[in-house]
Amino acid sequence: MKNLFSLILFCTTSLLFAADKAATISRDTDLFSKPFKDAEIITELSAKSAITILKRKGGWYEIKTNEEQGWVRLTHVRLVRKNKDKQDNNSSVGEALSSLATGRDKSNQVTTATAVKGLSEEELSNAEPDIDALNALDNFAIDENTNNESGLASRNIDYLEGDGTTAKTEQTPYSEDEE
Amino acid sequence: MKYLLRLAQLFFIISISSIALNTYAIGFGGFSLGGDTEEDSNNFDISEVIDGVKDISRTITGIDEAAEIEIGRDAAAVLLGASKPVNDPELQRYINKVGRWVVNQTNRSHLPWRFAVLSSTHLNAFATPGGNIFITDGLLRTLNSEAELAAVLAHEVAHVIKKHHIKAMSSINTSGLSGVLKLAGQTRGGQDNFIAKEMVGQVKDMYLRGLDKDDEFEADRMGVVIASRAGYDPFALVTVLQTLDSINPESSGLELLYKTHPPAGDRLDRLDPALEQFDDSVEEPPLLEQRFNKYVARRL
Repeated sequence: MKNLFSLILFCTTSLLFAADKAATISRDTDLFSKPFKDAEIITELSAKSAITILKRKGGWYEIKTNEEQGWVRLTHVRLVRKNKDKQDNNSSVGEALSSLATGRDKSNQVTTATAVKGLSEEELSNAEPDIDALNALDNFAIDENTNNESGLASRNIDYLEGDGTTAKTEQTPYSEDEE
Repeated sequence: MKYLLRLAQLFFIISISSIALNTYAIGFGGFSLGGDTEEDSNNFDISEVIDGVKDISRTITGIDEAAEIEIGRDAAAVLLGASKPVNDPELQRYINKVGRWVVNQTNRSHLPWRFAVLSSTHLNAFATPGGNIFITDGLLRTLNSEAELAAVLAHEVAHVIKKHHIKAMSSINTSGLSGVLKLAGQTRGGQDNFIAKEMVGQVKDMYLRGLDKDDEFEADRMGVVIASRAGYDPFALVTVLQTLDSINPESSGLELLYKTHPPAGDRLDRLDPALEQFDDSVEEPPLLEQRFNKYVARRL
């Protein structure tokens, strides 16, 4: 019963994933009319501007400010940090449900989950090596030649050099995988 | 004295990074301005130092793979001593499927890769040399899709490919890499279930201190490419970091992660140029949310 409830809860949250999210701009950045860097620039948004995320497309968020709506680079956006009080009080179902209204917000569960810690500094410092657990990992290993079930096709993409600014740009990453 | 030795060791290892090579050149170049002859002894020293740095760098890159795997097993046993795998065979199998597909995009797919979800509620992920990759249940539950899971695993995989942990452990051991190899030899030569005590201590030291920050940034950049090669969304690491950035850093589950990693916001800033090549991708790679939810969500 509990599992069923969780499942329903989860499906609902998944549907709400695209819901509006409060965020800020991390640096001065252009607001584009479309999710392309050659698209028309609507205006420049300054760092720390408050925005609302409407949806995501590839490396872009569609956002709105009080005046404008358009697209900004994904990496120039920071989600608004949840305040601590809200996290700490989030254990009741009522509050869990209310968090649904603002979108899927699983991070809250992290602080309220029954604590099975194990990797704090102290616990790591006191750990005794467990070789049986290590050997047991073999039970789930997947062989190198096992068929991939993800349905994904691999692509040829070179590693980036330095800061990535010298990356190969003449190739579109998604057009490389002709069989 | 021991402390001094360690400092010297640390300095030497730091000098392996490419920046250090430049620093040496500039630093000693300054000295040589005051020198009278071309045979200035300072100049002679520079080339020796640089050669030494290259040697060490080459040694770490060329470390015997069997030794690397042994060190990694020691390290993994220590981490597993702190947190056990979640008792959920289907989940463990699933994460190995995702991880295997990711590592098959690299030139080290032949390693004995093992992936596991650890039951810790902290938010973290770990790799050990030779291909053991762990993600905590806490971090897994904050993720939204298989693409995000692949992004986290690919970051850890990149550490293994680049042998960042071997480098970090060599900087902790007062005898550098040869000291680490010696400890690994003791483990291998000992009885079953024996790991040299010093090795255990140095492994803990490494995970408590974390890797070189530049190695973290490098793993971010490389991980994005590896996950993209596997067909996953190149921006999934961005959304993971945005989620981490939105969680209060003082939450108990994030202490070790932030002690050992640059802040998520800094990592996003550093990733920015590396992601430009993916910006105008017309096609949107699947996030595989359904498959992810099938194995992860049912546990909520």
